Amino acid sequence: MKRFVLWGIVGAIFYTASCYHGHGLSPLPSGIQGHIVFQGVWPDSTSAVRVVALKSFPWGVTNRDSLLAFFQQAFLTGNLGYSDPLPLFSEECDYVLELNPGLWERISVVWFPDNLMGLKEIGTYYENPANPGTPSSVVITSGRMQKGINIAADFIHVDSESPFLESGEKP
Amino acid sequence: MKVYRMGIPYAGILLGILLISRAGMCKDEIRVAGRITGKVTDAKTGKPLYGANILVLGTVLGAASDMEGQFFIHNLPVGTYDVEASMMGYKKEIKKEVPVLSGKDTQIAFQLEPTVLQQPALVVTASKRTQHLEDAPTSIDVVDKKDIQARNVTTLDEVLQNTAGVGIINGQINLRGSTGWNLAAGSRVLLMVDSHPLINGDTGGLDWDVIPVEEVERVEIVKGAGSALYGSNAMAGMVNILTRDPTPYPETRLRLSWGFYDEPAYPQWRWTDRFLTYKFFDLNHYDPRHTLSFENVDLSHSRSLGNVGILLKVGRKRSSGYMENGDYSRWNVLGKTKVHLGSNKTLTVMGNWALDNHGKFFEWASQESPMVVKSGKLGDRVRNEKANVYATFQHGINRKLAYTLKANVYRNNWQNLFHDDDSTYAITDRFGSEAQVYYSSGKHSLTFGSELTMHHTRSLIYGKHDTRDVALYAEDELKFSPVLIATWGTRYDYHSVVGISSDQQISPRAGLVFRPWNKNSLRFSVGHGFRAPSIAEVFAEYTYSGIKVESNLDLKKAERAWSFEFGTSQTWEGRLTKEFSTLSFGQNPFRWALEHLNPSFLLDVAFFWSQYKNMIDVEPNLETNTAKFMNLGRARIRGVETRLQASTFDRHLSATLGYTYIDPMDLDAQRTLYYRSRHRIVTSVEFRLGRFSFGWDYRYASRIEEVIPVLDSGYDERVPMHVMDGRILADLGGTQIGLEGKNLGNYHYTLRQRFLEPIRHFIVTLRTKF
Repeated sequence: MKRFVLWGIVGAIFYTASCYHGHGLSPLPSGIQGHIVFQGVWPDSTSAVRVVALKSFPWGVTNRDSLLAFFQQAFLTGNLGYSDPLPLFSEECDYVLELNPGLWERISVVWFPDNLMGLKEIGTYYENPANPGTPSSVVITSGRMQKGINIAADFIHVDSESPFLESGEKP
Repeated sequence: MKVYRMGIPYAGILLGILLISRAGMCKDEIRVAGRITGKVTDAKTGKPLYGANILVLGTVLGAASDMEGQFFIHNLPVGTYDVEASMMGYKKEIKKEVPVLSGKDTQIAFQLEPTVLQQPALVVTASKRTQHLEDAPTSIDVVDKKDIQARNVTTLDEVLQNTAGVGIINGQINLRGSTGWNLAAGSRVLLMVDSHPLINGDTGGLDWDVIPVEEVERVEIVKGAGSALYGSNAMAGMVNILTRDPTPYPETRLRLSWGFYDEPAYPQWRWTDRFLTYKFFDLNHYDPRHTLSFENVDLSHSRSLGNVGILLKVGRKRSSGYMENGDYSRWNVLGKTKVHLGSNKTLTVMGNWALDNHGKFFEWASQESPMVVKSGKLGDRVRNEKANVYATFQHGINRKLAYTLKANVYRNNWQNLFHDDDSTYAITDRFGSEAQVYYSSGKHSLTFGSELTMHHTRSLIYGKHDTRDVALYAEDELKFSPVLIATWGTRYDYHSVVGISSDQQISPRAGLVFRPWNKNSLRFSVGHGFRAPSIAEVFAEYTYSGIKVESNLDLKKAERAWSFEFGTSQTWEGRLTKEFSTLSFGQNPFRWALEHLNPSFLLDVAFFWSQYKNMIDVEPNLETNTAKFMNLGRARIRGVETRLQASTFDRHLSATLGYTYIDPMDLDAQRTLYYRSRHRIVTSVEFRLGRFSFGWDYRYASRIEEVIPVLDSGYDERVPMHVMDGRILADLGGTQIGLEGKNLGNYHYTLRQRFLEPIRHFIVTLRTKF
């Protein structure tokens, strides 16, 4: 019995030894970070606003069911990334979004109402905002956070029919 | 200064010996003498105790018990003496008024009572002589051979980092924040083997791989200014590694160990398929020759032939490392002899040779591949050969006077074998000698002596330079009463880089120990320390991995510091249960637990403060991506250290806990000093059950706040350190089998930029003697 108690102490020691502190240093995150300026009036029905990145943009897809299927597939295959919710009702904010290395075709600010299906793209990244052209893609390299991915978002797009600012055929 | 002039201090010392030896003896003492002999046994078991220390109090004479527990103290003048026997793990015992008769033996017997706390009784480093641990005015930690052997280590620094207030960064030892990481140059802690300095002559750094770990008896770590006795490099403390003496009987020891590295925690960091766990279960592909593994073999033989004890040892270590260029191959050969030249005279000579060939990993390719060496550096190697020879002659002339003569030679020869034709080399020879006298009379214990040291360096990156150091020192311990002891002394040092510069220092020290009641003591010490810049810090001109270290010929000033310490220790010692309890667990579990709990504690708290002037540190230039060593202005390191040692269940369960807080500031730049962790915690638990023992260590260091920015990678790779080790040891009589896991949490961290510390690894050890 005495030995039983002593073995219990041994167990307690090893239990303590198993206290976990994580693995400390980790591989460097890769992704994007930047600044967002909001224009217009925040709708009362706002549930969240996030930065969303897509490796390939669903050009030509307008059907809601097809769009949902596209997002599900992109999420499962790691081709979709999204940030933590941005601070509500602010005029501007900074963001950080960790992404896998590779080409990301579209970086957007997306407005989410209570009903998820009512999401709307309210801003997208242009490398040269003065002469926007088509939305710019971003190449992410391993272990680097790409800075300066700044986006202007406008709540006027919440009322548009299309979920995307530009969604026609691929240019 | 001509070299022959440096003999003057020695002439003075020898004259002093002659004069005092006459003064220390009266005519009667010269004519008549007796002997004290006896035996030391364990009071509980009656077995003889080997290695107990016997001191004749108030004199310089003493002895150690042999295998049969017997001891002999010769040449004692007629009179009465108090004789003390002590040993780690036992209460010391004093026999009062032991008579010594002319030409006769006086027999006494010591029966030492085991103690619950394992505390060393005597230390030798703090005052350059044997003294009781509790009489030393500075903080001292002792790591004994059991601690070392339980943790199956390749180099000794792996054990020391489990000690309170001790940090190791790339081999540089850091006592209470004294040293950060100065590109491996310069040390504010003096490393010694058997009280002989083992400091690299060119960089002033420490060479751990030359130390024969298996032959270490104990390590004394003295914290606080030690320059008053040891001069340069000891400004923040000393680490003295004491090797074992040859055994009086023939004995052969063998240690075999093998280990392997686990995979890193992140799949993207697995830089090779040579991790054993990769293919361990796939026997078709398992190839032990190509796994990331390591092995150590140590074989030693020891015996005595008449008055001559001999110890011979050969060691072989090999490792693949856990990252690219992380491999090494080492040989180590050691010989030690101790000759008893009549009564109270011994001569000890030790020679140690080590050859090390290792890959060079200065910085990683990227944080995405931290185990891959920077591009273009794969295959870079360093060959390093070291030889260390020392001799110590000790002579107790009479009951009041003893002297010690020491000489040592240390050669360090390293060469880069880089594939870009960089074959930089350095050959450094260190010659050291010392004469020391110990005089004990009444309440005084006086130690004084002289040192002469020469360095000769030849190198492609330092050039050819010689240094000379001459020193005189004296320290007196004044025992006002058993409860109040004062220590005071000073040292003069003359340091010159031949033909270039010279400097001199006076380093006083004073201490006070007050024991107001039993088991409690208060101590206070203040001392001045200094460190002369090393050859590398002044002359190094070198570029590696894109970083250029520039020489600084203006670096002539030694760094200086005043250090203060106030400490207190308190012991609560419970009785061993077997003295009074016959109750079994089954009869009354609750009472059994209470009786067996009988905890014993030792609590030690120390406040320390060091104020530096002209501190030598790396000064980066971010515009040119260069760095050089410079005298900073003022710096301050202050803090508090707490050590708790506890034992319970009749020594079956013991634990230690150490916490150190430091506040290290560059006062001129108003920033934290480089490479210092503000908080450091070490804890260890040992549990013994029959033939088995279990151990667990945990080390924590808070995130390093400041690093040399020239090496900054642009990313913050600094994280706190959390490292856990666990082990199981089975003692089968003369054979021990151990299994140890290191860094069990597979925690990844750096202590300097771009260098990942060891990942999780496991070791199996067989240790036997016959």
